[in-house]
Order: sequence, then structure tokens, then C-alpha cells
Amino acid sequence: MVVEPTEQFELAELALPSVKIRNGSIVSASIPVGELSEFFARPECGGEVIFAGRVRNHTKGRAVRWLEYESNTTLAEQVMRTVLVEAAAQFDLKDAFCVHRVGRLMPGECAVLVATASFHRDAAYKGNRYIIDEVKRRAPIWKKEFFEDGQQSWQ
Amino acid sequence: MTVNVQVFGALRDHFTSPLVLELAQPASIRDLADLLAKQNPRSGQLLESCCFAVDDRFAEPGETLAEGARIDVMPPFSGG
Repeated sequence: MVVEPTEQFELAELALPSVKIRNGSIVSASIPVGELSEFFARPECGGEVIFAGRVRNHTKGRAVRWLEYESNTTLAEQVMRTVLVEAAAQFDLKDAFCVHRVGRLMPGECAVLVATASFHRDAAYKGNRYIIDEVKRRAPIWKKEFFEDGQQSWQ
Repeated sequence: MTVNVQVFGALRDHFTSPLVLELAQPASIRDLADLLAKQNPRSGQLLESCCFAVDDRFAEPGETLAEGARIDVMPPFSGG
């Protein structure tokens, strides 16, 4: 399903106090999780879900030093924006936001953030889950793992 | 004809990117993938699992390529 952006749901740029971030974008700078969470509060929405996907320091029993993400940025942003609009329509979200970071990320750093807001929590949870699942499945983004033992592998 | 190719993810361990390739006309995306696999047989299995884009839109392997097209060759995604 492809849904065009509507007046009710604009994929606008967020002007946070420290940085401007375009909704549905690939970024190379650190994602300001706390600031985004605060900005996202909407008085008409009783449910708000913030999902932060962070770099784990281990995978399949191996210690991870860092990850390197890369994207086909034009296509990845197209997909992210389409998924946001789909989710907003499908779950009646009042707002939805997604940003994905590329470059070298250390354990604990946020690689992807999805925020959803709705009148009630159920839609915010479901819409948020839809966005992260679809972005992982459909957005051309790749990560390479660098392990403590010096080995590396693409995921 | 000449096409411009970008590869991503694990394919970058097999090819330099971007690269320019010569293909006999008419040629499809599948022909391009076959040529890449021929140039670097170790990439063959990975190429079979790839999807493609032409000039910034997703495209099917059977699509016919035009002179000067820019083709993205993309292994399975692993974002998030």
C-alpha cells in the first residue's frame, strides 16, 4: 500500500533546540534521543511510543567493538517516508517520526529511532512496531560488524 | 552500451564502486548481474539474493537497461 502524504501528516523537518532533523531521513550525526522524546510530546495524544534501536556489544556470543552502517540514501529515505505515511493512515497515528543513522556506531549508540503518537496507546504501539519492522525489511541500509577479535562481517 | 553501477554492503568486498560497464544491447538488469558474476565468480551467490534500482527507483531483474542508466545492486538489507 502506498499512501500520499496528507495535510494531517507532514513529513516536516523537526527544529530541535540543538539540531534540525528531517523526518524520514538518514543522518550521520548522533541521534538526540532524549531531545526528540521531549519534543514529541503532544497534548492531544494520550499514547506516545519511542523506540530506540541501539548497537549491542555482542552478537551470537561474540563481543562487538563497533558497527558500520551504510545506506542507499535516496532510496532509504523514500522507503522510510512511505512507511511513515502508511503507518499514519493504517493506525490513525497523529504523528510519526523515524530517523536512521549511518557511519561508525559504538555499542550503546542509537542507530534508529521511531516515535509514534496517537490518542490511545494501542495505535502508538502498533504503528511504531509497523514502522521499525518495515524500515528494517524494506529500506536499503546495511551494517558491518567489527568484533573484538579483529574479525569483521557484513550482516 | 555503457551503464554506471553502484554496489552496496557485502558486494563492496567484491567490486569497486561506482564502476562503469559495457553491455551488448539490448541488456536487462539480469544480464548486468550475470556479467558481474562472471567478472567475480565468488560474488555469484550474493548477486542471486540482490535487488536492484535504476535511476533511484526499485526495478525488476527483467527490466531493459538504457544507455547511461545508473544501476544500484543491493544485497539483502540489514538496517535497524
